[in-house]
Amino acid sequence: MPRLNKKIENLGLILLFVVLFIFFAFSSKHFASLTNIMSLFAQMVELGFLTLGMAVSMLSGGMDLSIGALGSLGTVLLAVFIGQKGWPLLPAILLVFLLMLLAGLLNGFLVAYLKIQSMLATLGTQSLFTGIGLVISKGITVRVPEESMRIFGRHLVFGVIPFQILLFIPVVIAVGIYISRSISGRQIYLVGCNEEAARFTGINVKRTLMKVYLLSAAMAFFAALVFSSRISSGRADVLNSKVLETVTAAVFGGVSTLGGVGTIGGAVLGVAIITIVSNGLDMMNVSQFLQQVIVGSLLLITLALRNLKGKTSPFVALRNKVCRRIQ
Amino acid sequence: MSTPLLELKNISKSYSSVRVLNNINFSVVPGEVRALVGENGAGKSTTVKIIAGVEQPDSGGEIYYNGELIHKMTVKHSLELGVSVIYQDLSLFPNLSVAENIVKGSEKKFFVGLNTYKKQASAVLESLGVDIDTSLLLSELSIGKQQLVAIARAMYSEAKLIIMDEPTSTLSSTEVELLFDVIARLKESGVCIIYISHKLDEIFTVADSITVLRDGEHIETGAIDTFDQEKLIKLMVGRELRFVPFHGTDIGGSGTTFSVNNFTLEPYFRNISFDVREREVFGITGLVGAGRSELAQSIFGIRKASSGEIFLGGEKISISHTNDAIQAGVCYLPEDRRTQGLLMGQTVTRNTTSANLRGVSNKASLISGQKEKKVVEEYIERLAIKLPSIESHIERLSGGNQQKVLISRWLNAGPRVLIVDEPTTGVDVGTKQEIHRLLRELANNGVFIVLISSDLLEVLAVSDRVLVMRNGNAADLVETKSASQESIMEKSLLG
Ligand SMILES: Nc1ncnc2c1ncn2[C@@H]1O[C@H](COP(=O)(O)OP(=O)(O)OP(=O)(O)O)[C@@H](O)[C@H]1O
Ligand SMILES: [Mg+2]
Repeated sequence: MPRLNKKIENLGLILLFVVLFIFFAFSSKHFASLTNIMSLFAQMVELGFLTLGMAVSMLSGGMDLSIGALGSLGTVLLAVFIGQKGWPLLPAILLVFLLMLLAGLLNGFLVAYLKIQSMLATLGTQSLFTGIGLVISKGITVRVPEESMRIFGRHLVFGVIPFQILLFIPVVIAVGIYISRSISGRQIYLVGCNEEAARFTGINVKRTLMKVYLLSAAMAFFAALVFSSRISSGRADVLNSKVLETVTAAVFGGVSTLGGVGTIGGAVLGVAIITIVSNGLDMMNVSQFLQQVIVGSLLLITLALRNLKGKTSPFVALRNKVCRRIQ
Repeated sequence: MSTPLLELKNISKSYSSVRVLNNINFSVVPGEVRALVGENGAGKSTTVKIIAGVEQPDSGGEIYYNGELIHKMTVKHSLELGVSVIYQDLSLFPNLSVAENIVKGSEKKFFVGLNTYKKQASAVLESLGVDIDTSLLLSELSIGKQQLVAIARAMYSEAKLIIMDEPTSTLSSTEVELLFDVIARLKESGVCIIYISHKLDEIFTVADSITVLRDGEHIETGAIDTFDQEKLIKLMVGRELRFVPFHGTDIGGSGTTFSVNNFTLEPYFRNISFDVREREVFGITGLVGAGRSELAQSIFGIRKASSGEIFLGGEKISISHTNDAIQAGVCYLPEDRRTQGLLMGQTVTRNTTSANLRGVSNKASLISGQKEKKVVEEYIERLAIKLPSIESHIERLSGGNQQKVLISRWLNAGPRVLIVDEPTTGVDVGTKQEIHRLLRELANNGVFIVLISSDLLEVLAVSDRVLVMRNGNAADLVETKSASQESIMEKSLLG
């Protein structure tokens, strides 16, 4: 039964996507043009990578708030190594990747070993990563004029398909399989459901959490790569504001903020919907400020609806009921 | 006969298309203690939920309270009518004082000083014959005392009907006695009690009358003296159940053992050593707080003992994490099902395979849905687990069936040593016997079984030797053949 429900839920998201698409196509004549559709997909990729990381951290019962800041730091590092220092592309990218994994290790260490609440730990590292980025970049936008760097965010394969889409799809599939089919993936769900019970069933909770934050750092790296390439520069806070959108997309896609519930497919659909809404609103010339209001409201509404639907276990619902009466 | 306090007429309940209660009819009168009995999944808890307004019955059923038809029973309404359900540690606030827990929510004035709270709370506790300091935090009390606070709370809010769903499953025997005293007092003051338990001796001690449910059907209601144990079991199970004693198993002498040497972890236990011989079920008993679970958890790698060694089949094994324990084949079924066992919100399948994911994976190390399904279905059949479907969330199962899923989890892990901690809590009589048989069978097949239990009859029936623990020390080691309940009881109290 739950499996069926999940399918229907995702079907609902797909339908919503189609409806939104048709709506915007009628509201703005530019919306349904090939170039806009491709740019829509391209936009999806950056938010998509970050949301993958966010979704995995949420499945494990946490929330990696530093993911945007780490992505931003990644753009700065790429810009400095490639743009300023003129290092060859491949070694520079590899180095940035490793440095970002190191940052993921730090997050994992704070959460798994020092047992700091995930949100607080990553709130701290968010500030840390942004700070490091600011110091390295001296607070300015660092340019990457290199032609070769353009491939990740500005190159059209066969003249139509943005390269980053071809990068995104295999990563989604890999993360999807990892989460839904691998042993570690299953353990992430179980840890997110109940850490103590997970330990009692023989799961190494610390190791599992380390994997989670490494994975989310890797996703931040991909986002950084694509983004810095697309805007040919790096800046210490460019991706910070995306965090809210990643949470919104994940929650919209059915990932629970309490851990243990949700799918990668759902999260990606969430991304598609958030992106189409913001792209469509752009096309309709709705201001960025108002869009922020809309995204925030969307998150709150989804959360409220989810609670109303009684997604909680009867056990919890019962306690809630009893407690409400007592207070 | 006075007018019934509560009357259920034709109450049915279905979840999606599955009917779990079918035309339930019974009534209770003030001052009555009614035992509600039945096998796991018979529908006892569901009945309670309907009375408490947590679940709505299917249309056609009627609930009368004091002779009055209640159109829609909600949680709020049932509380106003004076129906109070004692769930274990569920409806109380651990961070508030005992006094506040008793009085808060039902206070008659808006501003109440702490002293007034204390005075009123003490008065209620006194009327129940219970001695608890009302200024303590709730979390400082034992589970048993917390339950008494919950009852006091119900009394303060002038409850007329108190429902207790398996109240004694985590209580020590002295706490159980205290509870029974309180129930006697409640009865005197005209409160009606619906008492759910799988422990038949308790039922014959405390109840005035019994209602038997089976597979969601009402089978029989009658005064306590119209029943005896045998008849009751027959009504619950639907057939005769024979108890076969297990004694006289020959303990193998081949020398392979599971040994625990000098385990110490202050302040829980110290210098505990024992050997489990081949084909032996080794019991550990003692009072609540004797350090039994802590010992087992240290062996299993939950909290490392400060000193001690483990040998399995002559080889020393070191366990610093539960993962190491399982790799070595040392498995542990925890006592606290809710927080240490069940993965709430996850499917029955995921709950079953969690300790041995490699066993349900294919060559590429990916979990195979088919293999998982096969494993789970095998255990459902073997342990006769009743459930809506293997994709249902675990919280949909009745308490006893949840326990069976956890047992399957460990059977599936391929244990060489299986430590079970109160394995039959919340499990019905028939299943209890099945579990005992299973433990015996595993032992005969070469699994070292360690049975931790406060139920002396269980320990005596299943194990070959028993370690009695007292205050973290090994008080005695006895052969069950030559032991009696009294002698073990004495050892766990006095040594
Ligand atoms: N939300 C639900 N959805 C589907 N089935 C349910 C749900 N809740 C309970 N059931 C089913 O209803 C039946 C009765 O459950 P109930 O909890 O009332 O049993 P019980 O008599 O209390 O058993 P136990 O002694 O094991 O506690 C069980 O078979 C259970 O699987
Ligand atoms: Mg029950």
